[in-house]
Amino acid sequence: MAAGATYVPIATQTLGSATTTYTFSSIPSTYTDLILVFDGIINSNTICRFNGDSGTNYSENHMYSNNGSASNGSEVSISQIYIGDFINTPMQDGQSNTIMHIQNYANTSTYKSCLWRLNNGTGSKIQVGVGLWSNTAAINSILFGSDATNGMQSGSTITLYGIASA
Amino acid sequence: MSSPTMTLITSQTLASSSSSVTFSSIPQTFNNLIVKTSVRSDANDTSYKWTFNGSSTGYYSRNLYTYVAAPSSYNVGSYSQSNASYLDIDAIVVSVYTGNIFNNAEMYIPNYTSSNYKSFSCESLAENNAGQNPMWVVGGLWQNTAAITSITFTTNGNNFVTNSTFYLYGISNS
Repeated sequence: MAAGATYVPIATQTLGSATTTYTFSSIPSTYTDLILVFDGIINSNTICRFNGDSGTNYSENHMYSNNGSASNGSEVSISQIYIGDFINTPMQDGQSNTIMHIQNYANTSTYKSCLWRLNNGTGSKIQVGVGLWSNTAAINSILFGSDATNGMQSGSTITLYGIASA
Repeated sequence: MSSPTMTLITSQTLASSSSSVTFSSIPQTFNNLIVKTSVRSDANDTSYKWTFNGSSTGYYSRNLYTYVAAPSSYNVGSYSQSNASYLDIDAIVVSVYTGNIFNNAEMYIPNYTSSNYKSFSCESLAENNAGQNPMWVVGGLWQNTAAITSITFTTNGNNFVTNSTFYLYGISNS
């Protein structure tokens, strides 16, 4: 069986100035999964929303390492997924990356789940988490960024890839 | 529409045991790199060393791990490396493990050609079906602005066994 195109770059952006959030819109529904890759600096918590929904329809569960201690946490009925919620410790001390996998994003019958990794090598923080958007709509836009004004720093890059299973 | 990426740049499968493997002359035409290894040590190494461009300075990492020390004795912990001379990736399969078991590790390196410091994400595990079963989640930084042109994997004084594999992929964002 011939494999379909995979790991296809859908859109990419390098920030020319500090920005609060960036939105990927009009995401094609032709892939199976999405992968979002961020590389740069965010000066506060990293957040994500789907389809412009700011209602309390999100939940998340995570574990993390923070300055040598392992811990975990979770949140329910929140208005955005906190990808990097380190007890409100700012991530302003170094280059970081975030890799987020969104599975089966185009179906219209299930709630949408995602897995992420956030890494801040000099900032003593790594986080592994799972998030849920309690909505059956196909994901056609993703807001990603900071919960602080202009929290994403200039020069940061953010790319959205499509993954096809066949 | 953009072209598909995740291109295999190079791979090595060991035909005989070796203490180190290097990917050299990494092309600068991609945006991100993915490294996948499946390795086993011929002795009791619990980790292996990763270095970029032959550099022996500036490696930072944060490690979140779990392993089984004895039946029903589960350990979860965390530690860090600061300005180390190499990146110490744990969860290598050692000689006391069941035969034919190799580790499974993947590292993602965004923007490897940029003039920023290089951040990376890595998972490494060694399911043994007989205790230990280490799993490591690593986030880190190479505090160097040079583009990554080579990656070297080295044991802690022993050898990677025959059939250990090393794969390097390139990802483009356009």
